[in-house]
Amino acid sequence: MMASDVLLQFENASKSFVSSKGHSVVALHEISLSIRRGEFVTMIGPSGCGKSTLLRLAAGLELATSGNVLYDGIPVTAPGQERGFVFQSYSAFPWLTIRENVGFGLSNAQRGSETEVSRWLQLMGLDEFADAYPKVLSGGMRQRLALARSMIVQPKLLLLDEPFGALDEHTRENMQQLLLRVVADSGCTVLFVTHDIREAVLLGDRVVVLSSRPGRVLRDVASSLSKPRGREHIRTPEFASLYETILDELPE
Amino acid sequence: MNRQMRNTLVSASPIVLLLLLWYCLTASHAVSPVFLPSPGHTLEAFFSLLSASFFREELLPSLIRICGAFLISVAIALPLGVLAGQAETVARLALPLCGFTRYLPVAALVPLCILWFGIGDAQKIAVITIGVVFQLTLLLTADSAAVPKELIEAGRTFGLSRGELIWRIVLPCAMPRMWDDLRIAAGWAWSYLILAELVAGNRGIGYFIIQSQRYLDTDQVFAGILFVGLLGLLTDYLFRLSGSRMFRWE
Repeated sequence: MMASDVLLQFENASKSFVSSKGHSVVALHEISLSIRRGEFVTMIGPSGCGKSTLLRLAAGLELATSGNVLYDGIPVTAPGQERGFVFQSYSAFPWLTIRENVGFGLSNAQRGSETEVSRWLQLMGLDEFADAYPKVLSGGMRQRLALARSMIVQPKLLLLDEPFGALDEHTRENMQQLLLRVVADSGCTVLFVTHDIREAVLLGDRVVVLSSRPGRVLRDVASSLSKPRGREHIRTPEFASLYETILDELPE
Repeated sequence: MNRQMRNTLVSASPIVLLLLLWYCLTASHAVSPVFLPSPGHTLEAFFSLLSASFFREELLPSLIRICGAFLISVAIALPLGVLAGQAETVARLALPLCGFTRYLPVAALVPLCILWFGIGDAQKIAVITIGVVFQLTLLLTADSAAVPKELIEAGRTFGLSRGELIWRIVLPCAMPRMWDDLRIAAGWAWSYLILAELVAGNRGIGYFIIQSQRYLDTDQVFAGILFVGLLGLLTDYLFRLSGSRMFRWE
């Protein structure tokens, strides 16, 4: 593997927090993980295992206590536009219209040309709500808005923290397909955290399994599923075998 | 009788009862009008206030003082509160001082203000500002700190600087609640204005009230108090109205 192939790299990265009682709590223990350009990596682990912390290290929202997190070969010290983030909680800005939310990350010069914003509104099926405020949106629509807001600035790496966790089954399946399409069109690299095995297997080129706290990489499984992915993959034997592998690896 | 009518009636009854008691006390001559003028006389005195000379001589100076003091208070409390809600160092610097000073009785500071600023506009503005600025800073700090962490982090992932985060996320997000706190602070400002004008006056509504008392024009005293009450109510209404216009997204 050539170094330049790697977009995101964790080198023995650990993260500990100081609890309110003054104890040190280790959230992640010596994570080593490389994500290549163009890969779609899903990450799964028991709740509280530090999956979100790992994403936040990649985003630069938190900094590693020891070890390194390298983006494009350079240590991550702060968040940046080239690393988009979709949060689990609804993070639309309530005081901005849907249109203004989508264009939030664009510079003033870019915002002048409305075409890009309109294109994303249409792509996400939000155009009829363009001038409404986010309070009118359903959960699925809010996550589409969040996805559009992150993708419009053309990130090279998209980090998603259980983005569809709060959605109902049907909406979630639609969102998964939408995400795959958007990611394929843009060619960006994805690190997608979930607690749903099916989702991890269906979306990932690779599935990384984390241990319970402190999080360590237990297993890194390359997917044998063909692309593009769709609902029809769920009934294949490859899917079932991957599902079993992941389930066996996951700690109780 | 529908529910709404009954609720209105229930709310109105204590007010009506009080007015009735007032009327009975004065109509029966149980109390001298020097102490308690009749509702009719009070109303008459109130309407006699609505003249160009009263507006020019008493209302205008009061308005200039309260607006000046309110603007100064907001100019100090808003940046301080917004920053204190977001930056721990600013909070450590500002909040203990505000927490202490807000318990100092403003009325007891009036003599000092007279000593330092005389009996002109500067003294009124000082009393109002001292009364408002510390409490307002604490309220605005709480509003700033209540901005959801996820929204600030969402902004950070777009590479916004701290200044941009404050300007593009903290301020617009906290603004409706801040506006509401400004409305509450405006109410305090009216009270402190009258206090300052009662004690050391040359013109102003508070001065008008104390002068009327000196000449035992008690109906004028009542009218002045009523006038201030209505001005306070109007201020409140204007804040609410503009708030609901500005913050449609809420």
